[in-house]
Amino acid sequence: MGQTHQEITKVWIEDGCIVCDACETESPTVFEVLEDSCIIRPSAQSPDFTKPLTPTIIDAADGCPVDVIHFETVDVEGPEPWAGQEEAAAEGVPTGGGAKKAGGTVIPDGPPDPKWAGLLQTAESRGGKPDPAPAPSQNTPRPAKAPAEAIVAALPENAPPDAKQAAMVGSGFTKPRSGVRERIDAIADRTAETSKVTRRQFVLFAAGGWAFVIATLGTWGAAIQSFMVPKVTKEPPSSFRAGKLSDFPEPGVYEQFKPQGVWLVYLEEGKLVALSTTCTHLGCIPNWLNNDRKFKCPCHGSGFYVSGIHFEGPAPRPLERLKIIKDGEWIVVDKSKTFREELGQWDQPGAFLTV
Amino acid sequence: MIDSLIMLASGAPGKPLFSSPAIDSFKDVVNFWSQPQYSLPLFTILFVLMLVFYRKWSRPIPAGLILVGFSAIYFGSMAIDSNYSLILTKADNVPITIMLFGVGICLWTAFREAATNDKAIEEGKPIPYSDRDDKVLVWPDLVYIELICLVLASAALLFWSVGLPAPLEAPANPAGPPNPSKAPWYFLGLQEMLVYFDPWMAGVILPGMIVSGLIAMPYIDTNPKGNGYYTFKERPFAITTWLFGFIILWVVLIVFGTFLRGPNWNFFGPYEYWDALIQVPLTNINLSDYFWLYLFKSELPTNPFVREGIGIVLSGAWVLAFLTVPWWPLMVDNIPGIGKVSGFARKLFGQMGTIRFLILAFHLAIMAMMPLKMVLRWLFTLKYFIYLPEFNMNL
Repeated sequence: MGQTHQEITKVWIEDGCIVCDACETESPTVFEVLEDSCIIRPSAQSPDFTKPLTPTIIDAADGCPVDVIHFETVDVEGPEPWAGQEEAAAEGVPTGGGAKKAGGTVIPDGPPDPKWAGLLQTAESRGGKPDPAPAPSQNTPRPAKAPAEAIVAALPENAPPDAKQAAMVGSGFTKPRSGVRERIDAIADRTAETSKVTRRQFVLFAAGGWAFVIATLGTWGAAIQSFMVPKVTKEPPSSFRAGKLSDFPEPGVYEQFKPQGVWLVYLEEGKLVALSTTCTHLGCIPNWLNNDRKFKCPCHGSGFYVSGIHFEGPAPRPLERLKIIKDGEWIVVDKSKTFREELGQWDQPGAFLTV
Repeated sequence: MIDSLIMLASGAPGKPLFSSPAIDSFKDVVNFWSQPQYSLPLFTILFVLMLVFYRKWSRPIPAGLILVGFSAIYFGSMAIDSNYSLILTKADNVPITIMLFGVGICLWTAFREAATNDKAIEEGKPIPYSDRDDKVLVWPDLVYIELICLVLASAALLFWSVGLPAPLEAPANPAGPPNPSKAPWYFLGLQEMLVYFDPWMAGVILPGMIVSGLIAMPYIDTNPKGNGYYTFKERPFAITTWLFGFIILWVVLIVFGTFLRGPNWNFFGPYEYWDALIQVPLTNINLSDYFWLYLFKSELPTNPFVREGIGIVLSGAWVLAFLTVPWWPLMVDNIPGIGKVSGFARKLFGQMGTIRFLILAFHLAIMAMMPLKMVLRWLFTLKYFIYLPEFNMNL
């Protein structure tokens, strides 16, 4: 009938193996994955051994993620001896392998790695049987090289490598190799299948992780909060008795309470007010210059009239007035309550005492 | 020890070594020109002259003469004025002297190298030391230099700390702050800014913009010229802008704060006695007061935004003018000079793109507003362009 099929006579591995175990899983009798490389078992280095294993080797070569497995084939007359066995294969040969793919899709693109040439040699001599089809150049799909070279030659000389690749693929000469991205995705899919996390595990893990994050942020927040608040809050009471009205007989600035942060000012208009000694610019303590009739800040030169109104330097608003009330005949100043001129608070009760 | 030697050289406090009518008139002249409304423009003119004639003064002989002359006046003044001698010998102010001479030496080095390189560029020769492959090894070349610097710096600090007493003062007393109360020397420029602006502006926004401008610099200025070699001719705009901000708006303000700011934060000449009781009329007036009270002779409007409308419009126009320089010629094509500025801005805009140009223009507008406001304060006692105490916003 002239029906022929291909059988593998020689298999070898080129540089670039990533030691992924895929080939040994497919075909454990041919491939052996070592610590940092992969070899063909010496017993498998004879055509007699590899010929019956053709489908599994092809599957291994097809499944290799870096495509370093190469082989040579010869045409053998007759139908495939393993046809029909695939479904019932005891060795777990996956479907879809075999003859369909062997139809010249894999091109041996070079001689075996020199490293293995010696091993192959010894294997052949030890087997004592000459290769039944020792002329791979006639029997392998190598003749297809001529059209390949023709395709490449048809391209411009400086065509980029991917253009050549595209031309080869477009002419049906080679199959497109899947990209690195796809291979990684495929591996990730396999990993995801094997290492599935249960819902319970996931919830527990997420809860633990969030608890850790919240605890960390909470500790940070507490530390910052603690840093902002003074550790010692010994403050004198905010209100104090400042004497009697008779202690302030005539208009002027009375400085005896400056250590408490208050000037008592008897204004010409007949009001007694308590002025804060804190400059409204940046919080320095101004000095009362009696000759100039003004408060003058030593830090940036802000000046205030005796009433507390700002008139020179950078201070943006008048000095603040503090609450001043009469408790019987005593004058009481309460520093916790301030009256600001720019908010129109200087006329409110408590902002001044009428003398 | 050292300070007593200096005291000996400069005469006892209160009594200068030399005094004569000629010296007094010299002191008067210096004190007069030290007033900020004269000295800041004077420093600016000197700055421009420095940039224009950088090839002439950076030659060894003129530079040496400048160094000797400046040192003679700077240190020699101790002998003719005891107040100046007190300021200069204060332990707090020793870093100012180091800074002044350090800045001068760095400027001289940069402009000397720039003059050499620019000449080479003009003649089409290769620039010395600009080869990117001209590399040296970290070990031993760099590490040896660092070791020597470390030893020298440690020795200098050791002698400094032994020779000069620490500038400790009396225990702090909330009722009696020192007068004047001065910031550390490196912050005196900032303290000087605070005199002219609202604390939020001068304390937060302007320093923040200095920092943001420094951060933005490598992204705004992507011109590779001047990388690895000194030049002025190839980078006039960048170097002028940077040096104006550093020299005039920082170093000069530190000098003001050190030598000219006395009690009650009043200005004094360098040879003037710091009189805490001197009366200086400084009543400040807001722009809105000028506008409504003096120009229109009317009451201030009650609505704060109407009241400050003139200031808001003028400030907005100032910033907008900077942001729109590239499009000026559409409006004012005929005015000579402005077309040139605008053309340069258009070139920058084309090179930088919208965002980077606007960032640059905004920073420039704020930077240029600072000396403007200072001069207006000195000349017209202007307080604020925009005065909105109702919202704690002043400009």
